[in-house]
Amino acid sequence: MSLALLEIKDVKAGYGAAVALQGISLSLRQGERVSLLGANGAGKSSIVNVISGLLPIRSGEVWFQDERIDGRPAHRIVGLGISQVPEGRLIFPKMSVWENLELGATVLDEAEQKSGLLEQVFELFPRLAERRKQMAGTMSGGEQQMLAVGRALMSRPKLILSDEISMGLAPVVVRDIYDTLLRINQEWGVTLLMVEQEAKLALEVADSCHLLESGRIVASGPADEMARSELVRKVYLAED
Amino acid sequence: MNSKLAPYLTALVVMAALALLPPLTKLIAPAQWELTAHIGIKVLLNVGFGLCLWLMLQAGELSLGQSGFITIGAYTTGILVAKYKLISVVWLGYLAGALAATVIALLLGYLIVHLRRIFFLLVTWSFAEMLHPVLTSFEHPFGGAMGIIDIPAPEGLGLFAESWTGYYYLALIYAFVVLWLIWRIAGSKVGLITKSIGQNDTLVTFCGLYVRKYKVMVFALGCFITGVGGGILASYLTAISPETFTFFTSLDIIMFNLIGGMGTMAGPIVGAVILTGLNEYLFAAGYWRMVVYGLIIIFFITLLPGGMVSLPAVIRKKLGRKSSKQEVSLG
Repeated sequence: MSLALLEIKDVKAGYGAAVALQGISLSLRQGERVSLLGANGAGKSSIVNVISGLLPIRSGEVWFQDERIDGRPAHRIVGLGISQVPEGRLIFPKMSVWENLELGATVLDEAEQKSGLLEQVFELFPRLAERRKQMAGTMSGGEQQMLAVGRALMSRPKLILSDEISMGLAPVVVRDIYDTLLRINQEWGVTLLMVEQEAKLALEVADSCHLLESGRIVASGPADEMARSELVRKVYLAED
Repeated sequence: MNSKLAPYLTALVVMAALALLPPLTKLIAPAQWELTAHIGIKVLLNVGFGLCLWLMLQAGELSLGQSGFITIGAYTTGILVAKYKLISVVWLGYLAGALAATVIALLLGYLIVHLRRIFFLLVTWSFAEMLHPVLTSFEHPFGGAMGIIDIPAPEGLGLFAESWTGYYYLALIYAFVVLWLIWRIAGSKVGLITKSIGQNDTLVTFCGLYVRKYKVMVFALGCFITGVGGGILASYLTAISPETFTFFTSLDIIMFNLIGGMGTMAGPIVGAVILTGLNEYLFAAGYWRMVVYGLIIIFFITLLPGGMVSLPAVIRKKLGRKSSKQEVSLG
């Protein structure tokens, strides 16, 4: 048994004629927090979509817990313990908070669903508990993002893939959500792979970081080292 | 009152009232009963068809081909029970009709449920249209242009003095069984998943659910129930031809939901009552009927997208706005 929870080996993928990933290799250890950094179109989202089965790969391999998972349909990935917080705060707008969360737990069996998971999620996000009967679409952007994270937690994942959590949200709200993600990582032991365009955040919340450019990983390393590197500072942190 | 029981009690009261309609009408205005019964039968069967489409619409399945599944139910019943007399029990003929509709719905559904609304609508519509030439062209087993005649009534219906009274009760039971079934499904986990698919199917995939499976299931179930209704219609009409169920039948079923509103189950019920009643008069309007339909569609889509059931809320909102304006001007 290898130490890696997730391992991607030389993956190439794309949309039609467009090549999104040109040979990506990376691995995540159990309990690790890794962020993917890069400009628009660099391939960050494509990596998480490859893992969650939404984007089929053209070559390479994806392994999760010593099982090869590339080629599996997206709906069969969730049950393995991989949950995605998709880009754009995807929730079911015309359903209550409670119904949204319940839908997140459908891969679990009855006993697991009733094992107090909902209470744990409400404990992490007290705001959701207050609004459990409210239509999800009528909540603020931040609350909707909390719900998206809460929904992803309801399948008891081992790995959470988050895609641009900060997009369109006030910095203080983003901070709050990332703090909760760190709690989930530390208290629940959930491994995190976070796509984040906000470079400062991406480097703060993660142990290690991969920098992507046009579908390739151009730099990787511990987050603090990456934060000091010339390339990252100049281009992504806009420092002199 | 227990809120869980309230809808059941309401349904029971309405059902009891409708069950009392035949004896009461015969007592007060006996000459009116036959016409009332014929309209009532159509309304009640249409309520069933409208509810089936309502469930499909929850999953984003805008079918303009429901007449096709009524046709399959009706023809299967007719072929097995009347033309070749392969089945002697008419009730089993209905079941066979429903199963035939289900098999076709499973095959067609598997191919098309992932399509976007407009393409789903186009395919289901063309599927229903496709049936007409096929039925017309083959004497065996479809009976060609003449169709199938002498389709018998189901066993037990002879207990009623007039057949229309019997069919009225049969349609009443059909409508309320369908109502109960769809109600139970809508309130179940499958119902929740169905509704979620209509809102965002990608996210449903992210919940670990196989969207296609649920969509095919809902489509097949809707067509099963619709197929039973087709069988009942075949008996009631006693004769069916390729032109018995047309594009207008399918359009009507969509319009029940449009006129009544798709938000709640009350929508297609209200819509079926209104449009079926209206159709009795529009029949005389000949090709002007389409003008009226056009106006109705434009009116509801642009001015009342929530349908008739949203009317009270819309009016309340309008009145509320007026009174708040007055307050402002007073202040």
